[in-house]
Amino acid sequence: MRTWLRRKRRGLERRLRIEHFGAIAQLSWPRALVFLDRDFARSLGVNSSKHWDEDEQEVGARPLVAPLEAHLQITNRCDAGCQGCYTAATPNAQREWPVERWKATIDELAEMGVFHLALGGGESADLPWLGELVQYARDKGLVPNLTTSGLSSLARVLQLAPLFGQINVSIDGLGDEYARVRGFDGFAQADAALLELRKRTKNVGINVVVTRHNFSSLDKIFSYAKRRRLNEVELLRFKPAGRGISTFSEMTCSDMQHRAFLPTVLAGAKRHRLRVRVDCSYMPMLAHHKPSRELLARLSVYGCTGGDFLIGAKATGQVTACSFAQPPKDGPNVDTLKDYWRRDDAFGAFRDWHNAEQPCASCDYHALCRGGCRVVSRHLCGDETKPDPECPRVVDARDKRKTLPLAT
Amino acid sequence: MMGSMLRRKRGRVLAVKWGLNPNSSSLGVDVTFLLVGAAALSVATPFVSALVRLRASKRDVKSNSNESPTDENLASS
Repeated sequence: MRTWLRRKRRGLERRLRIEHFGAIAQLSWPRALVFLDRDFARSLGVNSSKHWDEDEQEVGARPLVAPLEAHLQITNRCDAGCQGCYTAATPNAQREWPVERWKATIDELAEMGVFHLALGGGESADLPWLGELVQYARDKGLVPNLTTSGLSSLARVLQLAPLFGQINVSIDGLGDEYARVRGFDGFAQADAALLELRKRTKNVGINVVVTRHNFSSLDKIFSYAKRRRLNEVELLRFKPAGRGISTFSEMTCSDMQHRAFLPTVLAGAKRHRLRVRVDCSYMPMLAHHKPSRELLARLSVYGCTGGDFLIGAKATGQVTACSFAQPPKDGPNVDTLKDYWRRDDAFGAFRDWHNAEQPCASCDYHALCRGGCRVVSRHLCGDETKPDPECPRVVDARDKRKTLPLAT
Repeated sequence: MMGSMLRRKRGRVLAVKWGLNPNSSSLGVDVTFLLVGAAALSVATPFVSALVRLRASKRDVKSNSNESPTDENLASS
């Protein structure tokens, strides 16, 4: 009981970051970031801020004063060789940053007020200095989270498990389906890793890259996650990045599957009483079902928030708007992010989502969706400013144009 | 009228982003709340609001918020 009370007391410790709309408060129990208006922030004792010089604006009207989370690809080394790896990880990556540069990055991010780190790769678990970095992040007040394949260095991850806020193992299918999506049979090993991790911490889940091949198995995957007593399933859209560029056309979900995505996910979440998270690129597929915009906003469900709510960093230190995006032309290294972040032209099309073409420009959900996934647009349209071509609304608009009679 | 004035003074929770995102490739959002809808969120929001206020006191906040670039630390009392 005493331990429980101590945990709960710890959970009430919080940080408050001033924002243009007011502030963001961090709760560690329940684990949440709470967006507050200026009056709320004032009632907590914040009397003024340079960020409040202009009139109060809605969340999302302008970029946050710092990202909520930084996605650090601390290595691009990995032996797995997954056929759709979005970073094209290999066993022999070169010119990667040492731990000292990543510690300097954490200093920079902590100073900016970033709340969370998402550590990925490559296989971050293979790094001998992973523990040193994770402890450093904790000491600086950032919550480190980890994605791992579960295929190597499990002992290290188990040892460090209590330091992570959340650990997710990448499992894109059960049994043979794992091999069909990833190109090799690693399910048994990943499953064994999950079992061991779950014994160590309750904050364990799985990441599932959704493809046209495993879409029909989502319910089975949810059932599996429930049996393994995982706390969440995170669903990721297949992206045309890294080795995923060459396999995108055969892996990406069909239009019909995209349209069925939200009802399928919600039905599975309800049936198995499971928490399901989806990545930002799925926003067009959610908006297709016209959920309440107010509800989405209150849940902070946004589309592409690269270069705003989140940033990425390559293993060589270059900043990106998100992990799938190319580094901006004049972008800095992540350990000197601060000045670049404040620039009006930072992150190009990622921040310039207000200037959208049709049908995005007239879409009721555009302020939330922000035009869908820039990386998919860049791959399929050759231009990251174009509306996401896999958005059902964009597909419908395209089909409508095709069937319109020519003007005489 | 008094209620709305009080709410105005005490402020509002605009949004809540639940959970932690371990995925290093994109911002994950919890869609499970779409199952229960706005009513459940209306119940959860005051709870979250109370947690944020709990043990907050003005003296805990750095007074020089104009100087601090982005981050105010509210120490627990």
